[in-house]
Amino acid sequence: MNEFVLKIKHNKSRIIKISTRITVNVFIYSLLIGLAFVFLYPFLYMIITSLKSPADLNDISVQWILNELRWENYETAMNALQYQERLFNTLLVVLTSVFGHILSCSFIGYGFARYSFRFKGFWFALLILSIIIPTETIIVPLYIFFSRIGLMGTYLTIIIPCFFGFGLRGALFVFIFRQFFLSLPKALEEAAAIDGAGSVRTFFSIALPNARSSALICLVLGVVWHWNDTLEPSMYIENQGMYLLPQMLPNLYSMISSETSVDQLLNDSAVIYNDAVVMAATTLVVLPLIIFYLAVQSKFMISVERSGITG
Amino acid sequence: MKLTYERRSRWTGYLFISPWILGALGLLIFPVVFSLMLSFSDLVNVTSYKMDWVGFQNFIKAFREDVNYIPLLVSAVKMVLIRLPLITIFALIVGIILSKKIAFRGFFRMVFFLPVVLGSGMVMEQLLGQGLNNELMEMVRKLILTPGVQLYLGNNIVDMVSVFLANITLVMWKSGVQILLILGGIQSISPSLYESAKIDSATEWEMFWKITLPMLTPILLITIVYTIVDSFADSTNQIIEYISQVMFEGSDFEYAAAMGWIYFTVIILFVAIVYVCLTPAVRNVSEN
Repeated sequence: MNEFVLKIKHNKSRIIKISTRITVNVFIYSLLIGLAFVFLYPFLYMIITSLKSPADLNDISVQWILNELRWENYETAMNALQYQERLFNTLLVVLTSVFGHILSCSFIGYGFARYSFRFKGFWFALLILSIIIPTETIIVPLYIFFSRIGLMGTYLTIIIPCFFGFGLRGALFVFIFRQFFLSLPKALEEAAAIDGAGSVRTFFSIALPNARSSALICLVLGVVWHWNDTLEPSMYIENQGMYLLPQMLPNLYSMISSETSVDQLLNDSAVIYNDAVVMAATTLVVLPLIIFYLAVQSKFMISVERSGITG
Repeated sequence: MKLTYERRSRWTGYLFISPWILGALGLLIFPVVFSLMLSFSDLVNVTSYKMDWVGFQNFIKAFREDVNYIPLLVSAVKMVLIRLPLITIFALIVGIILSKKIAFRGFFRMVFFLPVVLGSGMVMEQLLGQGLNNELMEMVRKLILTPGVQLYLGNNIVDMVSVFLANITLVMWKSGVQILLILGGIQSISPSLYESAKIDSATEWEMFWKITLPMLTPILLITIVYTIVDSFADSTNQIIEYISQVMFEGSDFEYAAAMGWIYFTVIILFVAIVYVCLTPAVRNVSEN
């Protein structure tokens, strides 16, 4: 009799356990799916809208399923953006900047992590200060500085600071590398030093290759941030012909005619900058970024997991 | 003279940070000093940057005369105060879920970082500006706040929920980096802690409060500081727009600099408060 009661009790607690696990799982997955939907919605919206014909744009009943896919929108957008040459310039600026960031920030971060020197605290405080200070506060002197050294209006205003550990959130990258080198065991470098390698050589042949995961994190974040940044280019580059791709978008947005007239609807050959063309342009601007992200994302996630962003 | 090992290593340290010092001279120290001087003076000649010292006049102007600045400052602070806990908690929840072994983990991780890929730029601003945000929120609101629920809750609570929902989308867009930070932090917690807790028959809930959260405090400190700096520097922030407007359209460089420094002081205060509050907890973890 007693045994029987125990058995029932045991079964009961097992049932409770399983049912709580199911509830928790249902909750977690519905949360994840709901959030994923919120994140994906704008991209779906962007792509669908970019393919709409003027007729579909004006028809409220057409939302997700289109009557026709209008690929010409992309052609119009490409011409308006002058896509090919600007894409090349943008890639050039972004990739050199990020290369500079990885090179200089790992070098500087290594110095902060491995060596003790006078006023180290002061320099490190300055590093943190440069993260916190809003660019707007020091924009005028920066402008003066660059025009004094004659770089105003060139892409070098964006690229050169990156080679000195500055540029877009450069100090943050220095911090990431510093944290990584702090967690790296010294044994290998000491062995290299005993074998007679100088400190710079030790850095390039031993420390830097070991920091691959941090470098990858900087690569991804750097490319993403530089690509999306419009503040620095809009400060330093005034010549419209040299505008980078994202800088072109506000121009296009202002060109949208608020309503498509009947005349334009009938005359199919007229160049119309409507919402669809603008969305096509937006898609074209972010497309390289999305391709890049999809290509590196699995390795990126592994690096984040293995070493964390800040070690 | 032969350098001792000690002295050599001192100079090697400077060798490594020399690029940064060079950069700092032109890109940090000069701009900071110049802009501070600017904020305390009156620019007499714009081309030669001749300045007359006027003391705190520009700062007094911000507090006394300008009707726009203080309300904008207050609303920026309010926005950060609302977003900071939301972003931290949201990133913590998502980070923990994504670190567990769940189905389609790779897919979810990819999607949750997607806003960072686009969210910091022109593109997302534009997408959100197209009324998309509202459209989406309207959908969610209709799902949650059906007329029946609205009647039941009353107006005040419905309004509060609406404000919350309006903020929550922005919060989600802005928390990609924070999720990554926390994801990395969770991985660095030693699994042996969880194993021994399991042997002592601790539940998941207990393990979260007694292992995960305390061990994450160093990362949480970084996450919170990052969030503060990031939300204050957000280009959609109206106060930043106002400062650049005064600077470039009004050509009032001195006043813009003064406003910039007041803003900076507020940010530093925020960071200092968080730092002071969280440091004991961080020290606790590193001692154990």
